Amino acid sequence: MTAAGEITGQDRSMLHLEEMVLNMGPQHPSTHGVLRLVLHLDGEMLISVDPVLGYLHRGFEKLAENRTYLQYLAMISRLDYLSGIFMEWSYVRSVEALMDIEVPKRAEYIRVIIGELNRIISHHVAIGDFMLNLGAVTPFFWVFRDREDVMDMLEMVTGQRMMYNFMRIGGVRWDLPDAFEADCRKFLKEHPAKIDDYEKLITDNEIFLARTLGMGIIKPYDALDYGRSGPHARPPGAAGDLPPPAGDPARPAVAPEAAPGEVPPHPVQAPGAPRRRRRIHHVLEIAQVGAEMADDEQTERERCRENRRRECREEQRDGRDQNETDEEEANRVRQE
Amino acid sequence: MTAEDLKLTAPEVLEYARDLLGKLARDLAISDWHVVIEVGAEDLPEVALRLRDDNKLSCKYLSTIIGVDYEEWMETLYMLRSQDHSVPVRLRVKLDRERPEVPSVAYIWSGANWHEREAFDFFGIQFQGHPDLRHILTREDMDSFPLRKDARPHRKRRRSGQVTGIEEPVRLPGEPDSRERS
Repeated sequence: MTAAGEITGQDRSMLHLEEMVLNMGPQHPSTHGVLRLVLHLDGEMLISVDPVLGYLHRGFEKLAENRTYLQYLAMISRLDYLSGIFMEWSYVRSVEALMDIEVPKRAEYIRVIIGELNRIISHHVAIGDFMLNLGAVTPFFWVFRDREDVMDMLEMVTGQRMMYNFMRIGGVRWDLPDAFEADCRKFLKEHPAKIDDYEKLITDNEIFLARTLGMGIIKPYDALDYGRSGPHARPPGAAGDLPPPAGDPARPAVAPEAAPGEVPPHPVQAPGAPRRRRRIHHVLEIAQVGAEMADDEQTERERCRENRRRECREEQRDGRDQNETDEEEANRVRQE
Repeated sequence: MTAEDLKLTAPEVLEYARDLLGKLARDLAISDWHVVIEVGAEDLPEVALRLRDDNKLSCKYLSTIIGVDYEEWMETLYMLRSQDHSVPVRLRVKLDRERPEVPSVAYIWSGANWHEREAFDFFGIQFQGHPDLRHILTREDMDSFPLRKDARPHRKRRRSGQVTGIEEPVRLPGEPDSRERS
């Protein structure tokens, strides 16, 4: 051994240095993303990694072959059980595109509201699990506590906590319940403060920084070349989001997206969360106006119906009067 | 990237691609806001390189590769996107069902590597020149291609005696064969 600690020449052959193959994983099948890594090691240096995947492949494509479009709907939220709404949404959108079905505006709004709520809690799990994997347990409890509020709302709307089965081809299963709006507004008001709490707990945490800063650097070109998108492509900087496809009906034009770059990319926190909240706010505003218009229409319709009923009653009374006079006349004639 | 580029519409992209690819493109069409270009299997690498390196189209992002079994023929679909405009481009390559072979594009887009392995895994499409064409999601000793339309579930084949179970011991990738070791 040299002074610098390098192993050379004869020492190397004495030590029987050879490549070692070490198996890492797989994790238990119910953990998030089951992955086995076959490590090729030279001493403690990692030469190469061979990822082995497929432990969670459930053959949805094959199962779909023997089902109708409607039958398959119930399985869709299982594709990604953390954001089932989006799985359902993409599926019903595809079927709608194939069948050329137009979705009512109200259903579109409901889809956006529910979808964005679902996205927020999906990000919650991502933050919590990421921190859990780094060995920090507290953030996990915090995000799950706040996730519960949204889960309650989603349960109120869909009847389910995770496997929603809420989307329908051409719309949604049913309308939002009356109590939803107040709950949703309360959540939107309270949630930003909680995000600030996460920031305090996680973003500036020294242990977190020590374990993530400078680790696994992805260069901007590589990010694009390997087809990374969304939150995976944003940290490298140059990649960012792809422009939305023009004319794609899967992007309903009900709520304006924030301009790119308006929300600064953030290493941990769901980068879109403020944007999502704004989008929900916006949609709720539209929904409010829509509801008022619907109420107006309702009262108008009621008034028309009431008028018509009155007219009918009057007609009937007139008719009865007529009949009565006819009968009286007939009686008179008979008597005569 | 300027706002002008982002406004590129699907018909404009189609016309531009027609000029760019010339005879390489067998057919161009617009389907569901995508520009669909049909190319022959032998022309695929050339077309892919031109689409990727062109300054205007710059399809540097391959979102996925999909295999399709139409029972009479097979297809591979390449879904391309660009950062510079908002028109998705879809490459379509028809393949002979008896001998589905297509050149690999793994050296053009690195992300294609695993997508091609998946298409090989499920449809038995051979990607020529692929650096590492192994099973990715199914078992190592899987002898059929499960997403072909005529593939039957493993359970039924086992009942009918076509499959008896795992015969070969499963080996770690990179691990030497037990026969070689002894």
